[in-house]
Amino acid sequence: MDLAQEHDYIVVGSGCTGAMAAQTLLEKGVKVLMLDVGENDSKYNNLIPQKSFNSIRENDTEQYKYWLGEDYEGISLGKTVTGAQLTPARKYVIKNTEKLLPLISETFFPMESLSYGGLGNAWGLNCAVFSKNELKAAGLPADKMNEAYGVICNRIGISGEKDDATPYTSGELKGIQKAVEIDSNSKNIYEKYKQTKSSLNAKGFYMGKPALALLTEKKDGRNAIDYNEMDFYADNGAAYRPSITVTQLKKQPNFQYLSNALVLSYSNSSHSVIVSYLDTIANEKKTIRCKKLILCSGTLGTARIVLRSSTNETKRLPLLCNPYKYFAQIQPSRLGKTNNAPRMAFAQLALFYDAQKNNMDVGAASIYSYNSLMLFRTIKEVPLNFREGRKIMQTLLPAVSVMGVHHPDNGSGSKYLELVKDNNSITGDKLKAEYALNENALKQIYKREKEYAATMRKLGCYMLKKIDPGYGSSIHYAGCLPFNKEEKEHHLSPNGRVCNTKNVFVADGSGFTYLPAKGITLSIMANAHLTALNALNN
Amino acid sequence: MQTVDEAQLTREAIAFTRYLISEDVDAQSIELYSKAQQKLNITLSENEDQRLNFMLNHAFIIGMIDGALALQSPQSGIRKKIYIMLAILESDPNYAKHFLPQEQRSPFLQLIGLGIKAAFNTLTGLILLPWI
Repeated sequence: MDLAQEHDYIVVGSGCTGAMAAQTLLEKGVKVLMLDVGENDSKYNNLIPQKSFNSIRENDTEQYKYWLGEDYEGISLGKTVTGAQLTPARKYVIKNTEKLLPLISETFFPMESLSYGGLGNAWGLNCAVFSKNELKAAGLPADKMNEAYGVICNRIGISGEKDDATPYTSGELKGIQKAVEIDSNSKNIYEKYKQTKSSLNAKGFYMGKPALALLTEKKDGRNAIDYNEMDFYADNGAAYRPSITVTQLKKQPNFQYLSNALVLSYSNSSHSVIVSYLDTIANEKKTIRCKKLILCSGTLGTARIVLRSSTNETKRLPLLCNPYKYFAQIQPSRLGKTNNAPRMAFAQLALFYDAQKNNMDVGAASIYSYNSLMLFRTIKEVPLNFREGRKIMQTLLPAVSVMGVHHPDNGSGSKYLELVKDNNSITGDKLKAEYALNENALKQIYKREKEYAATMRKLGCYMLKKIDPGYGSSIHYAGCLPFNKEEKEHHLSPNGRVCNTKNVFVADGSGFTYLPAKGITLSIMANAHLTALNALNN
Repeated sequence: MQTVDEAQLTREAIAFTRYLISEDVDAQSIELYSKAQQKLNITLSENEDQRLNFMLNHAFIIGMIDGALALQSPQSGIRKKIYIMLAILESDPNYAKHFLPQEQRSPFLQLIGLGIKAAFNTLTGLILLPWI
C-alpha cells in the first residue's frame, strides 16, 4: 500500500458506521481507505463446535477453554460492571482499549472497541426506527433517514413481525424477514400480554417481537439462524456483524484496509486533510493524506480525535448515554418445566412504554431468556452459600428471564467529556468523562422502572433483583458534537461536516442531540449512509 | 500473605467439589483449579488462611461459613476460591447434570426446602464465624 499518495476518502473505524459509510462510498465509485486497529479473536473462534449449547455442555470435554478462557477471564470475580457480560470468545471486542483508549471517570463506565467490526461484534442486534418526533429531537432529517433506514435494512437483513411493537421497532420498513421463533418462556409472557393488552395499551405499554438484524432466511451467502443458542459465543453468519460487510468490501479494487492504525488527530491543509495515526505494532506516529476524512470511531473515539485536532481552548464536549438497568425476573408458572426449543440468546420480546403516546421519550425494554449463560455467572449475585445457591438457581433458571430497560437521554451540563494530559498514556492524554443526572431525570427513571415492574407482574413475571451496572453500561453513546446550523466549533453541520473544517465528516452518533431509548445502532448506520452521501456531494 | 502449594490446592479442590456437588473431583478439574488460583492470583490473609484450613479439616462446616461470608463478606478470598471451583465444575461435561435445568415435579417444595437449609446454614455460620 502506497501511504505517501493522497487518498480520496479515508474512513476511520470498521464498526457499524464505518462499514456502512465505506459501502456507500464504494457504491458511488470512489476509492476508500479504511484505517482501523482491527483487533481480532485468535484464540476461541475455532474451538467452539457448531452444536447446540446443551449438546456442548453434556459432551465437549474441551468446553472449559471457551467458557472460562485461557486466562480464566470468563470468571468475573468483582462487581458486575460494563462488559462483564462478554464471554471469553467475545473479550477481543475490548482488547487493548485500556491501553490505547484510556479513560478516567468516577461516574461513567463505558465500553469501547478497537476490534475488527468494532462494538458491532457485541451488538444485541435490536433494530429500531426512530419516530418523526425522535428524529427531529435528535437533529436528523426525517425524510432522508426513512429512505436510509430502507437502504440499511436491505444491506444487513432484518427480521421482525407486524405487531403492537412495530411503531417502535421496524416502523414502515419494507423487506423484513419473518420474525425469529420464541421459546416457551417468552410465548407464555406474550400470551398473557395478548389477554391483557387493552389495559396495558391504555397505560402506554406495547409488547411484540423485536426487529433484529438476524436472518431467518438465507441472504447474500449468509446462513439463517440455527437456534443452537450459542449466540453469546460464536456467529454462524445469521447475526449481522459489520465485519461481514468489511470483509466483502476488501474484495473490491477501490477499497483498501489498513489495520493496526489508531487515528489520533487530523489537520486541514488548503485542499486536503492530513491524518495522524499511531502504528500500534511499530508504536510510531505516522501521517497520511486524504481529500476527505470520515470519522466513524464511535462517539468517545471521535471526541478524542476532534479534541486533539482542535485549537480551541474550550475542551469540554457534551455526552448522551441511555441509562440502563436490568431486572432478573421469574415466572412462577414456569417453575419445574424446561424451556423448550426453539432457543436463541438474543431478545425474545420487546416492551415499550410510551406514556405520552406520541412515540417520544419512550422507555424500551428487551426480554431475554437466560438459558445459554453459565449458571455460575448468576449464582454470584445470590447472597447464599454456593451449594444451595446452585441448587436454587438450577431450579429457578428455566423460569427466569432478564429484562434490560433503557431510558432516553437529553443533554445537560452535568454530562461531558474532556481530554486531559497524561504522560503515562501512549497517546499522551486520556479522556475524562462525567455523567450525572438531575433529580427530575432520576425521578422519571424510577417511575418508569416501577411501571415496568408492575406491568411484568401483570404478565406473570416477578422481579428477583434489579441490577444497576452503572452509567455507560448501555453502550449507547452519542451527542459529543451536536448538529448545529451555525458554524460553531465542536459542532457538526447538519450534513455531518465538522464545523470549521472543509473536508472532515463524522458519521457516527456524535451529532445526535437526543438519544431515544430504543437502540441507536440502526439509526447510526442510516446516518452514516447519509453522511457518506453528503461527503460525496460536499 | 500466604502462598499455597499444589497439595493444598488439591485438598481444596477435593473438599469444595464434595461440598458443591457431593461428588469426587476429576483430575482435569483439580488441574484447572490449581492453574486458576495462580492465574487469578487469589491470596488470603493469615486470618482467612486459618479459617480455610479449619474448613478443610471440618468439611461439614464449609456450607455454613460460605453462607455467612455470602452475607458479610461476599468478596472474601475464600468465597472467590469456592466460586472458581464452581465455575470449573460447571465447565466439565461430567458434572453438567448438576447445572443444566431439569424437569421437577414439585419445584416449590424443593425451593422451600433449599431456602430453609440455606437460612439455617447462614445463621449457623454467622454465629460460628467470629470463632473461626
